[in-house]
Amino acid sequence: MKTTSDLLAAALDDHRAGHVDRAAVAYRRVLDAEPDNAEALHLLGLTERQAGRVDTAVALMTRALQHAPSMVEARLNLANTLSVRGDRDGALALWRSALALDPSNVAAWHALGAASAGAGGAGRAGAIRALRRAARLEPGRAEIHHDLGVLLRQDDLNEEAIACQRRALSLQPGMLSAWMSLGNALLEEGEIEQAEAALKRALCLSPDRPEIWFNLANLYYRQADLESALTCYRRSAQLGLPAARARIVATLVDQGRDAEAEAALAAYLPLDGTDVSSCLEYLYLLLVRGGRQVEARSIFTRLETIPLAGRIYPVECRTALSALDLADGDSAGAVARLENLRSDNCWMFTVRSLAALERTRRQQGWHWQRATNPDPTRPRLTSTTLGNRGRFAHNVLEYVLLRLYAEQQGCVLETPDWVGGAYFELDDPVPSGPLPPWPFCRRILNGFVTGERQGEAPVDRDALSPLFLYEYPLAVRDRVRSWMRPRPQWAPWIDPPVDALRAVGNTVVAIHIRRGDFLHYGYPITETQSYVDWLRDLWPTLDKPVLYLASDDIPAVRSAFREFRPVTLHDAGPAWPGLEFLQDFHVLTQADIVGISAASGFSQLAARLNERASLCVEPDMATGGIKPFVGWV
Amino acid sequence: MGYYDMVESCWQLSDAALNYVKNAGRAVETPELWEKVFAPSPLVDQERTLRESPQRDKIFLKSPYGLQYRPDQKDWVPFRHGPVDLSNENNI
Repeated sequence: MKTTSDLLAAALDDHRAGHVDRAAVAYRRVLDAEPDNAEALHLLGLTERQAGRVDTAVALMTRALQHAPSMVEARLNLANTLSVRGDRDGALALWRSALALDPSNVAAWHALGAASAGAGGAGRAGAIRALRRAARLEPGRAEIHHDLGVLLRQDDLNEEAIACQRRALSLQPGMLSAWMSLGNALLEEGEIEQAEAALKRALCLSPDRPEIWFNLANLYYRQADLESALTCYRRSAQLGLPAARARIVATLVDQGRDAEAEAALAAYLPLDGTDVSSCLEYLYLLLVRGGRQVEARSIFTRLETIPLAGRIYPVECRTALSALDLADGDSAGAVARLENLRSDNCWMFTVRSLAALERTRRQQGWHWQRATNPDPTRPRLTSTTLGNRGRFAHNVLEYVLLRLYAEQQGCVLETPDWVGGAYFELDDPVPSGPLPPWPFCRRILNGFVTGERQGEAPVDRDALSPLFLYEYPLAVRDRVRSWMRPRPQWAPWIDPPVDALRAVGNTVVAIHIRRGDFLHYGYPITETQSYVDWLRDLWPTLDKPVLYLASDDIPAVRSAFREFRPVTLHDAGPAWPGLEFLQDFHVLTQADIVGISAASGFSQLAARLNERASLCVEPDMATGGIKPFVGWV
Repeated sequence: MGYYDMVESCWQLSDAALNYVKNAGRAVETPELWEKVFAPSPLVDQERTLRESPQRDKIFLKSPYGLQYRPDQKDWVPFRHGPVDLSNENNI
């Protein structure tokens, strides 16, 4: 007579041979005799998962673990199943528990690494650490090197990322995604020929993958070979990648083929998956460029209530109308149109903020005319994304890199209307004409600015976001700070909160806690308790301290700090309607001690510009504590 | 301290051994690593390691974990030598 072990072994052979149904019958038979047999519960759970019955699979594997908590394989399979079901936290806990049982389990380290990096970078350091361990444990697994390379590139460790993809390809030369990742990483390094070769290899392996055509199109776009870029974006769209549609429109706009761009918009805007937000910005640009402002008003008014690609886009439409109001000199109307809208849309942020600044200027009655290019014989540099990709600090930090590069290369820096340009005493001329697009140039700009890259520097280009310095050299600190001085006319709005704080304390401690979209996009979240614990130690050592809290969600964070009787903008001065973020920003630049919100460019920028602070700190995400922030190195 | 934190500490000790070899810029024998890295670590169960691993190629920690040397990869890889109780999630 066959034992349970014999039955299970035979069933497992069937399972491995692909006879899943037959194996499931045998597992059930074992469970009829031994309902608590952990092995059978686990394996039956696997067959259920293979059949797409995820809930039953989870229930069976959970029961298996109740009877045999040390079964590593069941933990891994349950974790994978939970991950498929979208229960990321449950999966992470199980992978960790598997590692508690078997600390050198490659599959667990690999899965933990692949799953634990949040979209906004929260957890990326831990994910990289986990994948490095997996790679050490099993150096011959191409997938691990590939996944590690992808995360390293996201973490700006591009050279190491390239090495990882090359290692993956040496182990598995036909690994499509490694060729694609290698191509993209090389493109970022400016290694165009090698990047093109890598992407073409990927295409040879899979000519019907739209992502590869998209990436090759990006490469041609980067080279200002717009015709080739257009061909590849079109193939990508044809093969089903919706993201390619907005890029087709962008390329046609860059080529000045406005009628074709408009026709493409008409075709794409109703389609599911289209990046409607970007397409509406292009539509605005085309209409204004064509001198069709009246028509633009009518179109965007109509589109406000018409579903596009499945939903309505009131924010983008009202932003377009507000921008038209602003161009017509009706700043109050422009502000009013966007007043009650809540959105993360960057274009809306820029238009709303510029309208509010313009309204203040008009109320104050001073004249403001942007400069034109003083020397058309000099090379030029611009960034058309300065006003519609990212918000205040994002744009300021991009401006810093652009201006350092422009000054180094003797270029005239021409900027579109952007919030930093209006708020600070900057006098860059307006764009005097279109320039060829220059995407993926961050690394190259950094290389020239730091002196690491030599040779002929590209000029006469439209450098596109993202454009941040990798490091902020002490050598340029005073120069950068000299650029970023608020226009004196804004003093009646930005000085009173600082004065109010100084009136009640000798040491202004300003802490910024970012919430809002950080929660939604998976960016690192600052735990208020870390700052509270830190303040408890620091507070008694300070001379008559006063705490200022800056946050996009004051109601959620204020109570945590109540023992320090925090002051917010609401208590410290009249609000500057629509521009309260600039008042918070100014306090952060004038405080004696600055607490930065984790990964927030806003408070990092304020700390970098602060000439008075004796101490700047930020959350230490690894330890949960607070550590010094070094803004300039 | 949860089990996963112990695993993390174990890996950090492995990292320390790798860094020592890297900084030395030469082949480092296990007795030297024992003397310079493992023995000074408060994590290590010296008595058990001395007793059960005469070649010092297996390092027992006071936790349920340890490090063993993999000559083919020239690396110190964690292993588990003691029981763990995962019935309580807080232990992880």
